[in-house]
Amino acid sequence: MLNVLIVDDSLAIRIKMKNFLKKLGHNVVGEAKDGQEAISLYQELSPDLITMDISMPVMNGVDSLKKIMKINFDANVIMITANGQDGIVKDALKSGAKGYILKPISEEKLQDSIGQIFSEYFCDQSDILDENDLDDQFC
Amino acid sequence: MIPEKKQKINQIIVNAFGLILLIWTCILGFSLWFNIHDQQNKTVEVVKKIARANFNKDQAYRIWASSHGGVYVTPTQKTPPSPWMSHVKDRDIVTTTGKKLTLMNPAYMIREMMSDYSELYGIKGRIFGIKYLNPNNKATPQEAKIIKRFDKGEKEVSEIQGEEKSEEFFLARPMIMKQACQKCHGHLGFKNGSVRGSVSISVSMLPYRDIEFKLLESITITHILVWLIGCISLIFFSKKARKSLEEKEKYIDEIKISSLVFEDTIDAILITNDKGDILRTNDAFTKLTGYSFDEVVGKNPNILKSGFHDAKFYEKLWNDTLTQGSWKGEIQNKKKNEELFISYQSISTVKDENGNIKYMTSILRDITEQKNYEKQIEDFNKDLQKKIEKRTNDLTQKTNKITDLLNNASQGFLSFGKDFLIDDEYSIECEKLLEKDLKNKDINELLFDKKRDKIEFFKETMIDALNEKNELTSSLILSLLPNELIINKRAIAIEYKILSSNKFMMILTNITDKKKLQTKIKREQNILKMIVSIVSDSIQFYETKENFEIFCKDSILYVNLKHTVKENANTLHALLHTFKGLFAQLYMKNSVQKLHEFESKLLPYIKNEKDNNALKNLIESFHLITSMDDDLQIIQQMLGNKFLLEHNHINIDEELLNKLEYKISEFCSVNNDQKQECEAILYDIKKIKNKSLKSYLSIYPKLCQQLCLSLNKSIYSFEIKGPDNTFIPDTFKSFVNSLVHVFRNGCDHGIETKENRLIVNKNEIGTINCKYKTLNNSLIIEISDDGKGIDIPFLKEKIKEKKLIPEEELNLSNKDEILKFIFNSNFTTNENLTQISGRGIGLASVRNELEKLNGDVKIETEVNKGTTFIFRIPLINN
Repeated sequence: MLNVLIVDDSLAIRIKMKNFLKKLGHNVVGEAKDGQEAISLYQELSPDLITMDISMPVMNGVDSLKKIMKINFDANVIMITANGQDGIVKDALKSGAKGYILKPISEEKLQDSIGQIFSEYFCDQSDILDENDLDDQFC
Repeated sequence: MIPEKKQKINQIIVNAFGLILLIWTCILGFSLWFNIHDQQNKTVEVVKKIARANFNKDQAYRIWASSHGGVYVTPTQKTPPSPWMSHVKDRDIVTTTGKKLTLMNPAYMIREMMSDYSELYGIKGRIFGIKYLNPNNKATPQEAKIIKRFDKGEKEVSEIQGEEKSEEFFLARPMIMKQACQKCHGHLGFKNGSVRGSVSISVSMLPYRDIEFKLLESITITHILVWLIGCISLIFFSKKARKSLEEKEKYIDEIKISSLVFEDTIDAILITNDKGDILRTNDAFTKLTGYSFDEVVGKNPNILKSGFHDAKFYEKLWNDTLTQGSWKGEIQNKKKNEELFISYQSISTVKDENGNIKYMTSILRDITEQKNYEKQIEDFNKDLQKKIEKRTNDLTQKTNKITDLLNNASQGFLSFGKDFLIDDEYSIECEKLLEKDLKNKDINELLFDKKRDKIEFFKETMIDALNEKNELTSSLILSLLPNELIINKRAIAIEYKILSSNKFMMILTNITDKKKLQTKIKREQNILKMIVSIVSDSIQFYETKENFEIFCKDSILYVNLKHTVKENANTLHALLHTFKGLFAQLYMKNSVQKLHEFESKLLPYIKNEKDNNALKNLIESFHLITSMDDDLQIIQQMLGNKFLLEHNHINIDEELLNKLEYKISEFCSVNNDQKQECEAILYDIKKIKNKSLKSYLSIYPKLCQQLCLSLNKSIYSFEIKGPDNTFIPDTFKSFVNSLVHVFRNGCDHGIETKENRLIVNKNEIGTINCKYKTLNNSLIIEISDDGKGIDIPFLKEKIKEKKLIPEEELNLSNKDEILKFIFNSNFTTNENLTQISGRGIGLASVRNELEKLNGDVKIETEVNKGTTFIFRIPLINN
């Protein structure tokens, strides 16, 4: 179970995201409406994961991401993007984002993206361990 | 030099310095002491001599005086007749001339002289005795002791008395009684030869001590100077000694090291003099050659000559040695036991200060083993080269095999570097997919033709992915690139990889067929849906078809020149819109598309931009009747010509129906993902003949589902609720068909998007319900949704804006009356036209149909709760 901070200016997306995350067994520790709020909440809550919308008022997602990466270069941030934002997504990835989800968001996309980042943490749930021959080091 | 050694030398120097300094100081100290002492003794001696001389002089006076029986002098105040010589007869005499004279004995005389002139002499004299004439001459206790010493036989007493300034040299001798003395002293009873008393003189030491002090001063200064000179030279010499010791030590060290090196080095060393006679060899030499030192000393090194090298070789060797001072090289020599060995030899000369050769040293290193190794390595290298050649051949063969594999794979593989020029090696499939001879072609142009922004993004993204160290991020960046492209009318799937050699690899797969198949499947799917709906709802199909045909024939008549072009166009538009809805319900996609096209063409007329004649021309030129042709052709193919010709009743060959069923089930087995939908279609086929109101309405739940899906909304699936045995007269059919607009309205305007539903705290899945019943000879149909409801104030604004009724009247209207306005033609509250609804025609046609049946409608609505349409149609008149 991960502690997640949701950053999105749209209440609907936040509620949706919250539902998905709860279904996936994670714990939503905070919600931010813009990039500025996200930074202060990140410092306060130090969550395991952040879902970050790209276009937001006050401070956009990429700027917020860059600031958060300065605070902790190991922070796990997933960008939430719309079509046609490839250039911005690339910038975000280069700045340290660990993944991106193309809108409309879905439970599967979210699960895949989290799985990519936290593959090692969820190893005990993966198929590999079913084969007892393999050492733990694969995890 | 090592510090311990330095320290040791230091210690020695310090010790020696200390000792010498001590001895030197002692010598000078002793000398100073001796000199001072000697000087002091000498002073005393001098004073003694002077004292004796004076004493003797006094003695001479005394003896002379006494031998002459004293001296007569004129008595004066100072020298009156001596009271203590009153016993002498002739003490006072008168000369012939009457001059008075008085006797003065030696003691008296000397005393007078002393008291008057001792200052002149610097010497004081005194006579004393135990028995005396003059009490002044009475011996002091100290003097009495001296007299006693004389009694014991001492001839002279001398001593230094007093200190510092009052220091005096004191000399006393005994006074022996003689005959001449008896005159004056005879009454004292001394015998001749006995000690009568003592005469002493005291010489002041002061002037002599002054002289002595000056002498001592110069002696001391001289000594100190000598001592200092000694010390300075000692320091100087000790420094020099240290230096020389250190040098010596260093030299010893060097010699030790040299000799150690000389003896312990693994290289053989031999040293000769200028004539070439061997002077020294080391142990290594003996080990190497077998010759001991004794065997070779004094001999010439040519005893080692193996005879392998010719005279020229030695000539050059000696030439180099003598002119350049050294020679180095490999040389073959012979050991004592005749065994040959190869050595690396360096000869160098040691010259004296005049530049003449003094010694020559030769260093020999046995490199026989090394030579052997070298040969081994050479052999090994040759072997290795052979192996590599073989491997290279194998690898080339393997590469060729891999190339074959890649070429025969149905995927294209190619790689390129940062310059985006395709590398030489790529699989043949690439040529099939892109173009011939890809070598050195720019991949960007091949993929994106000349679309600059796409090329720029592609380049940047590729380079970014390459530079990204994090594998996950790199793969994420790559995922931003297009994974499907249409190139040369081929659909190509592209995978991107970054190779370890900083190159990019692309895997191209031709997916044209797959895409075609997908499109085909989609099309077939649509066709099947259409067929099923037509077959299951054939009555509606026939009616729609007939009505449309009639409409098309008469379409030109709708252009009433008495009306404005706007009114005419609106009428046409409303009718077309209903047909469009009906066609859509029957999945006649081609027809829907055609009608939509025509609707769009009508827009300028609705906006009053063109005139009625132009509208007539449009209708004539468009051939509305052809709109159905595509779909009809498909239906004919699928169901046979007979189906289209028959009217009013279903007439499908059982065989054809079975075929259709089979085809659908086959389709379902291929497309697993649409299984549910397929099953629904199959179910519908089975219900083909069912013709109740329920069956008419039952198409709507599915329609709503589809609509919502295309709008990115979602609703729960629902069923029509009502008794199965409610049948409806034919006259109702148009109305029931027009209800499609109510459902559309519900989906489009009623149900909100998932996000908006979440915001207002509703279940993100919406609900639409439809139920009917008969009550008091009326048919009541309720269609409800739980959407956002109708915004009445907004509606009022719109009415005001469009000036549909006078404002005063509007203000008096109640809620129900205002709501009725949504049924007005050309009334839409939605800003955006959508394909589904929004042109404000739909609900108007519902009202038209309802009015035909004398029906009534009531709308219940609440903001954010939903809207319910309740239709009431009397059954008696109909």
